[in-house]
Amino acid sequence: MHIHIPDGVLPLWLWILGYAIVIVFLFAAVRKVRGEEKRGVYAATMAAIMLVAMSIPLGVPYHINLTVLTGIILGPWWALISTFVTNLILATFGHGGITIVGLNTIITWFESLVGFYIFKTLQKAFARKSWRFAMASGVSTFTALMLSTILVISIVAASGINPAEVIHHHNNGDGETQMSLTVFAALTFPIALVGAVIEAAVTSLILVYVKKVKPTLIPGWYA
Amino acid sequence: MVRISTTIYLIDHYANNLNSPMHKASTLSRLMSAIVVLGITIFTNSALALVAEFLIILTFIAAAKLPISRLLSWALYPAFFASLFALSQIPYSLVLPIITIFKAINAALVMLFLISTTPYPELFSILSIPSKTLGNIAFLTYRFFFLFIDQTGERFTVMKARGGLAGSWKTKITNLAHFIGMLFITSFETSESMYAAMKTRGYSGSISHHKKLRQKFGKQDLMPVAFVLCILAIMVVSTFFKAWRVFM
Repeated sequence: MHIHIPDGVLPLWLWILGYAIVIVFLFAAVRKVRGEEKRGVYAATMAAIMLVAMSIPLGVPYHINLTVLTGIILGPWWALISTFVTNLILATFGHGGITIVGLNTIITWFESLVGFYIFKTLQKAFARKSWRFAMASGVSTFTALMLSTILVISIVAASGINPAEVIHHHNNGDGETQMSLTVFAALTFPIALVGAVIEAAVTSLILVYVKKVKPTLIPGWYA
Repeated sequence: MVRISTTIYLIDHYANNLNSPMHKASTLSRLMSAIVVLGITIFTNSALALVAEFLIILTFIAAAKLPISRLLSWALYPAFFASLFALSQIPYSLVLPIITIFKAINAALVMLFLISTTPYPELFSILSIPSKTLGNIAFLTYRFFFLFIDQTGERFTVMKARGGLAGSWKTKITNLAHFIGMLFITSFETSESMYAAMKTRGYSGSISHHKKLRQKFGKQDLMPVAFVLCILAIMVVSTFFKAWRVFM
C-alpha cells in the first residue's frame, strides 16, 4: 500500500521528516550492502517487477505492490533500496507526488520488513510441514499489509489534511478530526482487506513456484 | 488506474527523440529549474498565481514540442486525488479547493515536463553522486522494466492464444498461477543474463556521470532560465497585487 497524496497537500514538516528518515536509513543500507553485486541485480529486478505489478489493473481501487515478496527475496536492506527506487520512479510521472516519496518509502519498506520477519519466524516454526512456504508467505503478506494500512491511517492523521483540522487548527480535540478519521478508516480497511487477500495469494503462489523451480532465488537465511 | 507501462514508454520516447531548446539544455539547469518551480508551487497559496503558473507551464510544454493534451491527461491522475481533498474543503472555502487542485496539477506537470525532456539515465546519474549503488539500481530498474513489460505482454498473449484462460475457473486460476510464477523466474533469469551481457560490454557496475551533467552553464540553458524567471515574475506580481489590495 502507498499513499497517492499529490504535492502541496501534506504539511512541510511531515514530508521533510519522511525524507530525513529515509535518507538516514538509505545511507545505512548502501553501507550494509556494499560488495553484494549479484543481490543488487536482484534488487533492480524486484523494483522493475513491482513497477510491472503496479501496471496491472485489478478492477478494484487497489494494485498489487509485491513489497512483502521483495522483503522476503532481498532481505531488509536491499528491500529499502528497491522500494525507494520504485517510489521515486512512480513519483516522476505523478503516481503520488514527489513530496510523498519519503513517506511512501517508509510505508512500503515497513511492509517488506514486517513481511520478512514474520515469514522468517513462521517458516522456521512450520519447518517440517510441506505447506510451510505457502502458509508463511500468505500470513506474513496479509499481516504486513494490514499493519501498513494502520500506518497509512496514522500518517494521514498526523498530516492533519482533514480540512476541519486545517481551518480550525486552534481547536484541538473538538471531535471533528476524529470523526473524519473514522470515516477514512472505514473506507480504507475493506479495500485494504480485499487487496491484502489478493496480494497474499499472489505472493504465496510465486514463492511456492520459486521454491519448486528455482530454490536458489530464496536466500539462505530461511534455511 | 494509470497505464504505467504506456506512460513510461511514451515519456522515454519524448525524452530521447524530441529535439527542442529544453531538450538541449544541460541536465543540471533542467533539474534546478524543476526544483525551483516545484518549490514555488508547493509554497504558493494564491489561486490566481497558481492558475497563471499553470498557463505558463503549458506554454513551456508547448515550446518544448511536447503534447499538451497527453501530459495534461497524466497530470489529471494526481488531480483526481487532490480533488478528494478539495471536495472536503468546499464547506469551508471556495478558493482552497482551487489552490489544492492547481498545486497538484502544476507539481505533476513540472515533474512530467522534467522527465519528458530528460532521459531517465541522465536523471539517475544524479542519484549516483551521493551513492553509486542507488544510481546503479535505478538505472538497472529502468532497463529491466522495459524488458519485463514486453515479456509480460508477449507471454500473456501466447497463454491466451493457447487457451490458457479457457475452461473452468479452477483451470484458469491454475494456469494463471503457473504463468505468474514462470514470469517471475524468467524475469530474474533475463536480468541476470542482461547484466552479464552489459558487463562484457564494459559496464563496471556503476553508471558514470552523464556528459550532460558535466556540461557547463551556457546559451543552451536559456529555456530553463526563462521558465524559472516567468514563474518568479508571477509570484512577484502576485505578492505586489496582494500588498496593493491591503493598502487600498
